[in-house]
Amino acid sequence: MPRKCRKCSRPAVINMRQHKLALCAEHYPEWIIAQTERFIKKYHMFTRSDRVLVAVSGGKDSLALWDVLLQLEYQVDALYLGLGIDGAYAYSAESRAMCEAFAAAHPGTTLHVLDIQDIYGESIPAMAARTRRGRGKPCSVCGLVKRHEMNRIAHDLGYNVLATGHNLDDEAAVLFQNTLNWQVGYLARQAPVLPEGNGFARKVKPFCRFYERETAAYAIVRGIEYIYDECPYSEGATTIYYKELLNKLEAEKPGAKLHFYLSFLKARQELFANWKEEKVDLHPCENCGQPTTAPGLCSFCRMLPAEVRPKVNLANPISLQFPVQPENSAEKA
Amino acid sequence: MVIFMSDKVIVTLRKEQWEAEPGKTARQIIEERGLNPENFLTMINGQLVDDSTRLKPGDHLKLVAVISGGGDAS
Repeated sequence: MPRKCRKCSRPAVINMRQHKLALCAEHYPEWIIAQTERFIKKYHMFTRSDRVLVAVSGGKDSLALWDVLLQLEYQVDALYLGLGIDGAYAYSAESRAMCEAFAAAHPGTTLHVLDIQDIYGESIPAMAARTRRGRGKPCSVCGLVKRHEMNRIAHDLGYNVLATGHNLDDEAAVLFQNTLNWQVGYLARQAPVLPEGNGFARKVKPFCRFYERETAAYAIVRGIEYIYDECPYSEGATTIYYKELLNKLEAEKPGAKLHFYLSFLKARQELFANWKEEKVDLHPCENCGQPTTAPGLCSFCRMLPAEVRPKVNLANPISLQFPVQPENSAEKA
Repeated sequence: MVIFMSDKVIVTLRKEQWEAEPGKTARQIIEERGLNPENFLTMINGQLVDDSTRLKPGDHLKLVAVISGGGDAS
C-alpha cells in the first residue's frame, strides 16, 4: 500500500523522511505555504508593507516562490533577466516564456523583463568570452551581472526586498563547499537574510529550509510549468556534484542535510557573534552609483566596454502586466 | 487501431527509457537502476505519487530529476 497523507489518509504525493511527514496533493501545498510564512516571520525577512521583487529564472524554485508569495498576499512582483544563453536549445527564450506564462496566469502581478544583450549589446556568453573574468565558464560573469542588475533594478523601481528561490540543497551545497575550503568570510555572511544598507537591497531566501525535491513537488502539484532543462553551462558544476554527495548521505541518514544547515545557522550565531569583517569603505561607482569597494568603477561597469557604460543608468526593464493592455486604450475608449 | 498493452512498466528519465517489472515500488525501480531516490520525484501515468507506490503492468513511471544548479557559489 502506498503511504497515506497524515491529514486525510488519501494517497500521499510526497514523503518527507526528515520530517516523517507524508502529504496528499491537497494538503502538501497548504503545508508549503504555511511553512514559508513561518520562515518569513522566524527570520524577519519582510512584512506585508514591504515591496518584494522575486528574481525568476523560469525554474521550479523561483516560480514556486512567486506563487507562494502571491498566495500569501505579499506585495510581490518579479524580475526576469534575459541572459542570451542558447546551448543546444533556446534556454533563455524558453525560460522567459515560462515566466511570461506564469505572469499571464496571475493577473495583478507584474513581470519586469530586462534583456542583457538588448541593453548592453552582448549576451552573457559573449561577455564571458571577451573578458578575463569569464575565462573557461561564464558562471562568474553571469553571477556578477545578475547581482548588479537585480540590486540596481530593485532600487530604481522602489522594491526594498529582493527574494530568491534558493532552497536547502543550494544552501547546504554552498555551505559544504565553503567549509571544505574554510572560506570564513563567506561562512560569516551565509544566512537566510542579508540586511539592506549602503545601497544594497535586503536579500531574502524564504525557501531556504525546503529540500529541492519539495519545491519541485510543489510546482508539479500546483500545475506550474517550469523549465526542466538545466542551463547548458551548469553541466559538471561543482555545486551539482556537492548536491549529489549530500543526497547520498541523505539517503542513508534522512534529515542529514537539514541538520547540517540548521546546525550551522545555530553555530553561526556563536562562531561569528564577534565577527567583524575587515572594515571596507564603500564608494558609489563613478558610473552607475552602486556601492563598490574600490574607488572608481564597480566590477560590473569595469567589465563593460567604455562606450556602453552610459547605458547602465538608463536601462529600465520592460514591465509586463497581464492581460496586456493595448496601447492608447484610454484614448480609443 | 490495435493498441498493445505492455505487461511491463515503462520508465522514462529525460530522454532515456527502459522497462521494469511490475509489482515493485517506484523506489525499488530507481534503486535497481543504481540511482539515488533522493534525486528524483516519481510520476505514474502523469500523476505525482510517493515512491512507495507499486507499479502495475502497463504503467508509465516518469522520474523527475530535481537537482539543479551551477553558477558561482558566492
